[in-house]
Amino acid sequence: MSEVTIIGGGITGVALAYELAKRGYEVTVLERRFIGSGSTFRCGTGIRQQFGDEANIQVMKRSVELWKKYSEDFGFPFTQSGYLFLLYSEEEIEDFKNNIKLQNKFGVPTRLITPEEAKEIVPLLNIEDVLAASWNPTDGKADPFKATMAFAREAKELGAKIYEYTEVKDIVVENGEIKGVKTNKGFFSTGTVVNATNAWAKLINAMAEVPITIPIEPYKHQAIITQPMKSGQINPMVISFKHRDAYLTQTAHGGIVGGVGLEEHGYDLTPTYEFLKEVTKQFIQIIPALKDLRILRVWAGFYAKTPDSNPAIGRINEIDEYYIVAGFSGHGFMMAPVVAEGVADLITKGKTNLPFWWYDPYRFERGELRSKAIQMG
Amino acid sequence: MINLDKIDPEKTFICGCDVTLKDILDVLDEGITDLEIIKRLTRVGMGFCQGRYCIVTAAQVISAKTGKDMKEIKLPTSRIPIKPVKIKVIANE
Repeated sequence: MSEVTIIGGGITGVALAYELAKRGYEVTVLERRFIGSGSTFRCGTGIRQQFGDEANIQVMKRSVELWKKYSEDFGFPFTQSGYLFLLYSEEEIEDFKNNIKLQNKFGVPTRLITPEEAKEIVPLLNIEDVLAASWNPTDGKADPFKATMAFAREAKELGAKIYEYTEVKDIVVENGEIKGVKTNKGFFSTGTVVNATNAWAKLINAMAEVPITIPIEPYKHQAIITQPMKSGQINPMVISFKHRDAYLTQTAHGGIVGGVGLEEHGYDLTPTYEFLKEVTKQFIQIIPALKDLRILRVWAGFYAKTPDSNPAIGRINEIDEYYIVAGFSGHGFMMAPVVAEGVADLITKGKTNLPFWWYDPYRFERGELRSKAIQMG
Repeated sequence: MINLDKIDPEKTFICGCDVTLKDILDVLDEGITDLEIIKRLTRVGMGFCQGRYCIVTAAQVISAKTGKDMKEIKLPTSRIPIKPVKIKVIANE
């Protein structure tokens, strides 16, 4: 018997297991393949506070504090190397000025800089046509493999049980009360289920017969990594909406990782030549020197998208006790530490001080969509 | 099968990308035995050869240390491109 059973062993699931175990709860994580295999290990590694609404800015500011704390406590790589948004039109600049004002209000030190200043930060940048850039040096990136495995390790040390290659087949609910979870490895008795399966959330919601509509759909997004080049050349995450929502940065190992926003609805994960053509075309316009680098790998992962690109986080009142923590729309990795903290408080105390009302899973049913979260890739 | 006791783990390179036998053994010592995860923590199989030369060696090390049959060790997915190719070649520059 476990007090809380988390379905989904991505970073959200294992970080939540850590936070609950720390609060003295008996926790079990069920993962269909291996830890991180769903979407976490396929992510673009970026962590940013540059959002366009009050809730996401505050939530991500706390997340960055936690990234900093846990990377030091657990010993995994996290660097505050910044996010640099390249802006190419007066309209874009106006939008970003509003975002910056909002970010500054909550203590995120973003500022508008000139193309020349941007080039000082990333000397390889092509600044022709760049009118300005939005720069926040406190955004960053982390190693998704080491970070996720560190949370898993710490959770286990505090007594959490993590079962890999364990696929959930059904959720047993009697008279509105959760009794347990059926898997290919047997029955897990539990009173509380957390759906942390992100791209697969609708399948788990269906098993629990969640009576409200929570639209979360999988979209294939692809990424590339190149051979390593000399370290320190592209430290920040560089973003250009003009170049098909491109993002790119240099990893700790020296390779350039990134992608463009070419998405496809459904559960297929096959990399495509179409993407490879598009990403290479866009990348060399942003940084021409990339043209001589060799591509090592192309892979795909899912954005689990909601209609407003904000996640669905909260308790489902009709089922005792069922929580949805999914639909991160490409932001699951960066949000994981703060989501884990907030959801652990929701489960143990019934409330959180973070503005999680923004992610209310009932908003779709009520037709109260949020402003769309800023998204790229 | 490799006799791991007869070689120096720090001086033995599993792959051409600076991954040593010690790197693999250190992860195994933490209780992590899944090649998929060992690959991502040590970066074996993630360099220029795309795993062609090193991934089976890594699997053999896992087999030798854990007693797992080689047949039970699933190799990670092969990714395109089959050989590393320059960005400008794809972009037609």
